[in-house]
Amino acid sequence: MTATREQGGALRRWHRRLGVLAALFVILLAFTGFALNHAAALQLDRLVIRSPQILRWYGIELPDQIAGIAVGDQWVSRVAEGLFLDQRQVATCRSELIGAVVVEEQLAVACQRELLLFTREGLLIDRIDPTYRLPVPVDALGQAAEGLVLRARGQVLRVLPEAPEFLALESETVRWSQLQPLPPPLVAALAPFAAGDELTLERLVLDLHSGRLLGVRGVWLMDAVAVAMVVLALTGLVAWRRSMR
Amino acid sequence: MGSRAILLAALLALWPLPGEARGVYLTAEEFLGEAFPGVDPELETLWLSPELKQRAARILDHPPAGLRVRFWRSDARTAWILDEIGKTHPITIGVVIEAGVIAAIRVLEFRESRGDEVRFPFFTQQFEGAGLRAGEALRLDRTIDGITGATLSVGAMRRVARLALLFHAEVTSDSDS
Repeated sequence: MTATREQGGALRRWHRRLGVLAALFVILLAFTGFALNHAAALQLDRLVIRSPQILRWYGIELPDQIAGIAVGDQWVSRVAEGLFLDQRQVATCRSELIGAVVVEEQLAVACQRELLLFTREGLLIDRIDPTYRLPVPVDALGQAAEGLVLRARGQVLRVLPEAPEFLALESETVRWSQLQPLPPPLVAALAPFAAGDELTLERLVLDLHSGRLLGVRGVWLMDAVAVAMVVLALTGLVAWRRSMR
Repeated sequence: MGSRAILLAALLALWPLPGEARGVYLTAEEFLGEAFPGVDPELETLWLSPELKQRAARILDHPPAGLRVRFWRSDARTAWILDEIGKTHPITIGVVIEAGVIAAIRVLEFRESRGDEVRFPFFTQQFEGAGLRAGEALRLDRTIDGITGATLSVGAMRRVARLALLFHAEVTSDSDS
């Protein structure tokens, strides 16, 4: 009788210890599980992680140099597929950035397979690609006395963006825009965008839920928590049955 | 051993590889050739007024990119090539409209890793003859059945169809007046 009572006491003691140990993880699992169940409603799949610390935790290398083009007192750059005017993403550009110039109060940005026109405030007016007769790949963008000029397939062409039309250029004086390194503060601000949009808050919460955020050890830890919860359930049942007697 | 190798090869061939959905399925020239057989359509521009932008944003759930949209026209028929994001990448979609209803809708380029079933005729044929319902909601006048596993791409196709119909109504009402 005394031995059974001692056994019961030990069971309750271990049940309590294990319960305290598992409590933190149960709360974590409950919150992350709830968030994952409602990921779409909470738009977790649309919230992209931009924290350099978290991106580095995932082993994503961030660039320490980014090339861009100075346009007046602003910089045009392309990071991943985003096209930026200073720190503001103004459009996407699916091919390499080639040049940017301001002509007649419009900002023209050339990527290899696209020519984008913006207002001076950075509002996208139009996107011209091979669908609209743009010769590609564009390998330079500049300006001449006649206006906007691009070079593609060995030809120097004047651009009439309204039509759009591309005419052979007679002027020989063209000021081509040049890529150069962005200032370091701008690189620091834009570097997290180099990771693209793949790492979302949903992925982060999922990895927290499964333990994968801590690698293989994290998965084992969560396995141990799962085992602890099963043991808690069993010891709880046993203790309850004994108390009923 | 031989039959095992054949079985393995067959399994590998059937295995869905990531990224296989991506691709250019129709060039702009091919699409325009289908849209205007034997005709050279005019390339025109539609400037988006604040009111039109607002109505377009209501369809897309985000503001339309750009202040103007280019399209092709021949008589009462117009063709539009528009980009819309499925999940994370834009899908390039071509829509042909005549007399206020869709004559054809095609996927020109698909950039997502899955959901490209929207390019198949069993899906696109549902849009043929569809117009916009009267009213501010700018809904299609028919139900378009979805595809399991391609919900977001189906959504993008529906939105682009509605947007092209809205733009078509705008440019044809201009020419009527």
